[in-house]
Amino acid sequence: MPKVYDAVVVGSGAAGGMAATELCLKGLKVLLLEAGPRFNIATDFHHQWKPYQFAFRGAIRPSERAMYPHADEWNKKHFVNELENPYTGKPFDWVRARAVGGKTLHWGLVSLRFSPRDFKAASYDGAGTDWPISYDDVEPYYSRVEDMIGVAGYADHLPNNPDSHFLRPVPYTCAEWIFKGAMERNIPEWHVIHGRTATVTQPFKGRAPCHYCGHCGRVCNVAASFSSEGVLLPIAEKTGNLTLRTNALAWKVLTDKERRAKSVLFVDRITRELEEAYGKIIVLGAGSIETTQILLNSHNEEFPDGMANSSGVLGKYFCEQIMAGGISGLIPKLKGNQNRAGDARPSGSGFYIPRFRNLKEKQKNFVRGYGFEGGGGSSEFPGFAKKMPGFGARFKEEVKKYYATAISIGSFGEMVPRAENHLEIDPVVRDAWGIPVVKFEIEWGPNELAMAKDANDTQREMFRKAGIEILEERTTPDLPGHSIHAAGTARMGDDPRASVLNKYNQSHDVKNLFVADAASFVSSTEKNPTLTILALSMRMADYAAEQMRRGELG
Amino acid sequence: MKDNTNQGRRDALKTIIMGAGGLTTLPILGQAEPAQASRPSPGSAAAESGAGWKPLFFDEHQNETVVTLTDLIIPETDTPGAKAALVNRYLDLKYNEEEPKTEMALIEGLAWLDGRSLSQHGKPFVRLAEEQQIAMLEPLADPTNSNPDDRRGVEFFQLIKELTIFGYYTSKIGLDRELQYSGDTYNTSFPGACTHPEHQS
Repeated sequence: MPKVYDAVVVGSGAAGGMAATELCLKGLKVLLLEAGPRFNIATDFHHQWKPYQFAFRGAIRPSERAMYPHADEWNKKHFVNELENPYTGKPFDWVRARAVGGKTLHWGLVSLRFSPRDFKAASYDGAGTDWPISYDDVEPYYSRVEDMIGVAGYADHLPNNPDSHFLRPVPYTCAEWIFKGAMERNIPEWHVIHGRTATVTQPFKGRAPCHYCGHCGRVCNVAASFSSEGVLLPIAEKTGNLTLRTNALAWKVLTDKERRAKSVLFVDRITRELEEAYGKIIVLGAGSIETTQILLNSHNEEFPDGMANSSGVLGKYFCEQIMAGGISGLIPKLKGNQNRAGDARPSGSGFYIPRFRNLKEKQKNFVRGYGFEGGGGSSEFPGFAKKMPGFGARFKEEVKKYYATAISIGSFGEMVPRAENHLEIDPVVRDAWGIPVVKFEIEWGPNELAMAKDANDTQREMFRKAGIEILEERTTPDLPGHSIHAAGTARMGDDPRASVLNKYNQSHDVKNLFVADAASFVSSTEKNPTLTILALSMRMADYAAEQMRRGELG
Repeated sequence: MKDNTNQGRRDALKTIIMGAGGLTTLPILGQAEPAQASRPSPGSAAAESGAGWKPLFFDEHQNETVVTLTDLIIPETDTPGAKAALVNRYLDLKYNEEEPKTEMALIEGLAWLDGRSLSQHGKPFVRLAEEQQIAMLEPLADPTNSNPDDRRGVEFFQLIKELTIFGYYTSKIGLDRELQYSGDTYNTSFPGACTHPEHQS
């Protein structure tokens, strides 16, 4: 008889990692399936190496670019090999990890609570759909997540950007103070606030605080910045309830005759053997797109359009944030400033400019809004130098004099979900293990593009008002996918005809099947999703554990 | 034109083993790298500084031209310039495995420059006096230059300037000595924090 776990969880990133951990804490025996291998974050990445310790100075060498288009030489080991894992359809930048911890090994750490308005945004402007839950439903979980992982920032008391339980914020650089002052003097509604980052800035529950090396993205070797591997799985492992199975490529969820999920069919990434993992409940936390891919690939006689898809909306209503462009420049007042470590701090800890559009006023040609992330000061590579005029000794001196004056910002705008933006399974193409791949049918629409234009005009106005010497402007939006904040393709809702999941991330059709990641989201907002992913995954796990305790889930 | 990358890598590894001025440091935690987890980086600083270095991609003349050009763009001042920082060796390694279109842009640009030099002075670029070289580059360094005869040179100059910037400021000389970047190390507080009250009003 094969072993039947209380729960089989697919994916060990933020969503699956939190689901597995919370279920373990509730006493369930959990099998966690992870597609990639497990790395030792303390030793397996060249975290402290300087660029010149690599032949290609830290960039992926040209002959490997097709394999690792999104990685660098420090962190590429945990990225997916794109040649073995193709996808098709319209242009889409799909960034994937393949390791225990998933993208939390290198993520940008920006941690923002969604606001009360975000959960009911459709009621304000008629676009999209309201969530079936409110901020009040999620708030206790935001608090518990923050108390578990540690988020640094400042309590700014902005209604549309609720404060977290914050650890000490990271101080601003000179460039950031000057920019903030200029914004406050000119347009006070354009608040410039401390970035909110999932990094511990003081000793926290046995974790050493951040040591300000500035290279979280090269995989933090002391777990000061949050990763599922560094923070959650040790908690899960301490319970004695976790079994971790690496190199397991989840392919399908299998159900029995009683419409209950019984197992996850997976391919061993190394041996290529087909195996089955049995659980009383199945939780998919493979990331929005991969979770949706698994559900679509799980189509069977009963669910010809995909597992748990009697509504027909699985794969549809994709949303994320549009990255409209960016602007960079130099602050003349700081010429000659001697600071030499302006980027030696956690990702996400520069400054943030919260959404101000369509809150008090109403824009004519778009709904919702965008926020800006940015930072200023000296950095490991002086990217601004290529825009400095001339060459020779004078050029070299100018680069040095302006080194600490550089500043840049970029926007993240809310993409309202539309049914036509969707994922399919490609009818022909398979990955290196024979699993049918995702086909993307996603395009920016009029609302996103009008919002993007406004964001680009606004960033220029901000820099001009701050007296910044503009060096470079990008005004063409990045491709869909670039935000790495995909959401919505297995959305929750009260109506089983219009949603895949109920408000507890539980499938309407298959009671013991759950989704832990942002596929459940009803909207993306302009805010980075990870904190909300963690909160909703924890909430789902609490609900599932309680349902099991009551015998509702077998 | 293109050497076998494996051959280049083998030579580089030989140099590291012979201990030719290696500059690699172990991670601060002092843990040995697991064998499978790290591939010795071919042509690391150690290999670049080896006395027996030969270009894999450039011919001797192209290499000399690249050395000259990069050192004109970022010369020695109070710190060494691109020549001492061996930017040419990094570019040689990179271009040895670039896509053909990318390689051609650089090679054709170098040839274009020699063509101009030959037609103006009867000598290739590397044989000109430094003042002549600078005078030839100045119009090409001007992004507002709309002279159609200069167009390819203007594009080429921006390319070689960006390559020089990357190769120089990611080198030990560029990052540690010229910029004196002080991140990438262990700190108890944010070393970039502003300490000037006049900025914070």
